[in-house]
Amino acid sequence: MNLADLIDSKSEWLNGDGPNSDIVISSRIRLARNINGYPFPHRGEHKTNIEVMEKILSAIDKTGFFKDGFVVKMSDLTDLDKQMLLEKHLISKEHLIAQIGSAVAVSRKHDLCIMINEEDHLRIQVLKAGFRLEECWDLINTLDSELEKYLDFAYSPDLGYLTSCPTNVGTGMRASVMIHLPGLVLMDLINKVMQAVLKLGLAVRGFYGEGSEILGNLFQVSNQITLGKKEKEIISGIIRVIDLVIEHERNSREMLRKTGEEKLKDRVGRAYGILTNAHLISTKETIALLSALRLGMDMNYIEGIDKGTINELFILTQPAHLQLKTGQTLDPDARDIKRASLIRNRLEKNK
Amino acid sequence: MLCDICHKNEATVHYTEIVHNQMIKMDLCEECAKVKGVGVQSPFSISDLLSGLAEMDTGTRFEDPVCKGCGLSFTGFRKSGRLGCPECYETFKVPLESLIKTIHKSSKHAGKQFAKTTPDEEKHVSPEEKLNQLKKELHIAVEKEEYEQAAQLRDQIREIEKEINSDK
Repeated sequence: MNLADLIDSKSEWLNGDGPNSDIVISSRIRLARNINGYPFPHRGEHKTNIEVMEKILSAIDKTGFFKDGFVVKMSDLTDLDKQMLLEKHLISKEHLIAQIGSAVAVSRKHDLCIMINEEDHLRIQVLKAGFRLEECWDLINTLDSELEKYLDFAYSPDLGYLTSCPTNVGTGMRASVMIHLPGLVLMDLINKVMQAVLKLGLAVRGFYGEGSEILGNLFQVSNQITLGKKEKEIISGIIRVIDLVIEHERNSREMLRKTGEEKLKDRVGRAYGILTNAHLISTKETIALLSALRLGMDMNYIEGIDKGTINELFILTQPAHLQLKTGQTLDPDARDIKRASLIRNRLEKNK
Repeated sequence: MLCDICHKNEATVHYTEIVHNQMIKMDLCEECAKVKGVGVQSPFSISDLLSGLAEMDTGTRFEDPVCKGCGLSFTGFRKSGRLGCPECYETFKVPLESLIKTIHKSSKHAGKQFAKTTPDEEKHVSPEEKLNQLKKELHIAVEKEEYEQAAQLRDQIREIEKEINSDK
């Protein structure tokens, strides 16, 4: 698969399937791993980082998990390409500025991804649609065990997997879910719920992870602690909390239906109206309106639109995707035109 | 929208931070965002955590150990919040211990164990253990009705049994 294929190919995790997919967009787990005997990427010379990268690339190839996937060195990508990978949630912000000796591998369905020489030598990621953390764990655990056969990971019986930052040591695992909570936001309960989530030892972030803004009522909730508990215990801890959040969101939606249904329908209808008719639209407005439209679909006010289409639009309307699709750099005004036409098109096709 | 810090430039970086369990939203211009370190760096401020360690400096004179593996000093780690190589965990074992306890409220790994079987280690497996392993595999192969594989395993088992008997 080449870069053009990657832009066009569908990300399985956005297809709108899976348990509780009216609230949980996706589930994700990542593992941090390092190779024994080498400095961590930020302290490695170009030469050693390249050596580590080659070792990992060869191991990745041997596992067979990335057959027909997309494997590329970061130095072979333009800034726009990298931005596109970030928009697809396949690489991190930190990996945008990655130096020589770093790379990324993406599986055909985009469900598996490995960043090479980001903060750690390996950042292995699994992404799935809906609320499916346990399945994510089973898959990532298998991939990790496969990689273990070819790579000598830095590990200590006391501290577990050794990572560049001590906040990841132990399991090296961060498990997260992306949840859509418009009901709690509209009922003005979101802060209360999020405070509770934080108190339970979980972290809350925006749509694009660490340091990103909370947009479109989308929240990412993940574990903070990586040491002292089994992976499955950490995961079941998150599941318990998210189950409660889902319940509160459902209750909020029901309250909204009972107390101000016309107001809610109006909001949804206006969002749909703008999305299907606008000729100039910013990223921010797009995300806010898509969120309202999704709520309308989840509450059965609007029928006949495929959830996957809406999920995909969240990504396809981002700046780098628009520009790579048109094959030229566009200033913000030109992007607003392209974005509006893309949305009109997609929603038209879906009728 | 103007930047929340300089109130001059257009805010292009939008940022939500959680400080002391409070969600803080900020709209910053690119310059102020850079100064604040928003964008690339993690909002999980390691320096906050490291401040707990500062207490160690007071009172006793703190020697600055240097890692043999990568040349990183402990002061260097405190500045960047990142260790230099796997060996650093051994070099800085004592000062790291309290930091790791603060972060994770634990200091003992309980998760997945790295089960590396290099060719070297495989040699250490005794023939008896190997025999048991093969018998297990044979059982699975028969269960899955993979008879070709089962036949191969049976041959291997015979060979090892011969070896064991000839050693005796």
